[in-house]
Amino acid sequence: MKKIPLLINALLIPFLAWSAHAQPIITAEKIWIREAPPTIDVLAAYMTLHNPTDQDITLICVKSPAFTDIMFHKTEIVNDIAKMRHADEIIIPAHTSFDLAPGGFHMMLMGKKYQLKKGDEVELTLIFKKINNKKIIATVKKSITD
Amino acid sequence: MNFLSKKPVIILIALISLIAGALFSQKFKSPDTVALTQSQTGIRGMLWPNPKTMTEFELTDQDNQPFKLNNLKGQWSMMFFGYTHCPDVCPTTMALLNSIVKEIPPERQPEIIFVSVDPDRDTHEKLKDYITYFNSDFKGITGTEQNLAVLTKQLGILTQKIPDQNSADGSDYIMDHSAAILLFNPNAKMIGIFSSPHDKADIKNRYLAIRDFVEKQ
Repeated sequence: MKKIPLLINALLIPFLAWSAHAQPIITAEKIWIREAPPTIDVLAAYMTLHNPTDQDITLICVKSPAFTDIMFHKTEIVNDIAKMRHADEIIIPAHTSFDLAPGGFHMMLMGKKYQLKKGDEVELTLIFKKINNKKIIATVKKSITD
Repeated sequence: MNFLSKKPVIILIALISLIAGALFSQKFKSPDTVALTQSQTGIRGMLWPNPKTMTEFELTDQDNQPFKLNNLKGQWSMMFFGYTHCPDVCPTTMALLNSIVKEIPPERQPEIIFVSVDPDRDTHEKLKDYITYFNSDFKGITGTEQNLAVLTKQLGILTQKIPDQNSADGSDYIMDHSAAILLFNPNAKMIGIFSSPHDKADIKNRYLAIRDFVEKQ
């Protein structure tokens, strides 16, 4: 009889160890989406992602019920020319924070499915390489200081 | 002996290179470099004593009305180039321009003109919606690619359509565009260039300083 709990434990311990490892250990803060005029369906999301682990973590894509497609873009202003360029993925180095902020990296949110105004909350699912997805909530704001 | 005979040729080549180099660097100076070297007023970005005279251009505004050189006359104006599908730099700059205007007394406020360099997507209805969101007094203008080029070329504004291969159907594109804010005096001459990065207080102070300087002349 005693063997059964032991067996369960034996099965459970590796599972717990695995699930602890697979938890989304990345944290996200200052998550916001810039409010846009009603006819504009391309918006930008910003946030700070923190990776407290010893390993670099790669964010490969983002999904949201409010948008049809989300890409990573980087704005660069070179010689007074503003350029926006696609980034395949975002690597958050070990023990480092990664800022997505105006004038730098942003998540380009395309195909707005419904109107979004200041104060609305939007679910974003961050999909990482090797670790579990993480659901976060972004608040629609007029500006970072809003 | 041989070297001495070649000496005049070497000097000639050196002279030609020097002149060509000087001409080349003059031709390819960025507008802001010209502004910096020309300005004897101590105000960074001011084009003085030779503000740029403009030639005629024909665009349309957010109400589908003609917007020509004459529309720049009679008031101070700030002009910014962008497009409504730009989710980062353009709304940041539009919000900045709105906050600058709000800090200036009404009688000294410049007119703000947003020039869309993406006429394929930015209809006048869309432009109206876009600028009204930031400030209903703003102007939004655009036109055909050729007509836009008439304006941008004389102002030294660069724009370029970049295909976005990563878009869902591959047909999307990004517009590279100048991030500078241009200042026009009431004679429709370009008198200042505010280069990025933009700072609210810095642009406001330089605009007011340029205006004070000109009005005292």
